[in-house]
Amino acid sequence: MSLSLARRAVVVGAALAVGLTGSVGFRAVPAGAQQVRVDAAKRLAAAAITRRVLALRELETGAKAIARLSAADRSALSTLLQSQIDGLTSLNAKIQGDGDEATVRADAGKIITDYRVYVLTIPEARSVVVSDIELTAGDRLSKLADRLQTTIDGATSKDTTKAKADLASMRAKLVAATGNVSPLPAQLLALQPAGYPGNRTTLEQARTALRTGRAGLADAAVLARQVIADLK
Amino acid sequence: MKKGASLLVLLLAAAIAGPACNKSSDNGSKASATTVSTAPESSPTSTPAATGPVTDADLAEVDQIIHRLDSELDRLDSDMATGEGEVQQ
Repeated sequence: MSLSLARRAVVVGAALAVGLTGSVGFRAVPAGAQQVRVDAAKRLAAAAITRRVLALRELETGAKAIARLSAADRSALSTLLQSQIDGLTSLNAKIQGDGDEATVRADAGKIITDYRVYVLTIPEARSVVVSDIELTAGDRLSKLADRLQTTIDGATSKDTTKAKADLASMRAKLVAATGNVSPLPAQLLALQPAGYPGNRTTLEQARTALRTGRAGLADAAVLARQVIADLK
Repeated sequence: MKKGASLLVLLLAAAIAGPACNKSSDNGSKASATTVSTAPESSPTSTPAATGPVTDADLAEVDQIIHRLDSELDRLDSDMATGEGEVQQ
């Protein structure tokens, strides 16, 4: 009789445990172990944020060297990088103050979903910096093309047919390169983390355009040398 | 008298050295972009002349920009290959 009662008590106790915890585990995680897990998750999140902030700061330095882009594009890039640094810094403060593991994990997920630093912001910002370099190179080469034209015009005693043709090719390369690159900064700076991964296509297209632009600029430099050789 | 002779020698030396230096500069400007020149205008940090015939220094400056461009494009490729990584255990 007393044995039966004891068995019933065990069954009821087990049922209560399942009902209260929602699991069939009988061993609750000790509070100390729980805190260790929370602290570990916080450290991991802090390290992830620090890595991103350092990468963003490095790009900020590159952005300060921008010379050719419009003030609006330069400002938009600077704002983008600084706002992500500020946002991540605030998020880290929030995470370090979180009281339980679930909240830490939810906030840590925002490091990725709300910022997309590695897959979007950094390639986006780098592409803007590359655009600036290409447009700067295009400007320099255009000025050289003007000077080559002056030299051709002054070479009245020489046959300048080939020099003129090479110069025309050089200018065509420059027009194509700068024409493709000019709209990129505005397109890139419009990309938002919320649009990822759909906006990844824009990044890929920009990279292709920048590679094409680089090839065109290098060709233009070769043609500039060719024009000089044509005039000798 | 001695002073006059010295002055004449100096003037003659300058007359001979002048064209020689110009010729030397011309040769310098024809050097390839990778050649290190002692002429200031060939220095990568100096700004080439904005007018006149296009020189190797002008083209070297463009080469330098394209070299920087290549570095940044390589970094862009590296950036694009990077994932977000893990932030949770």
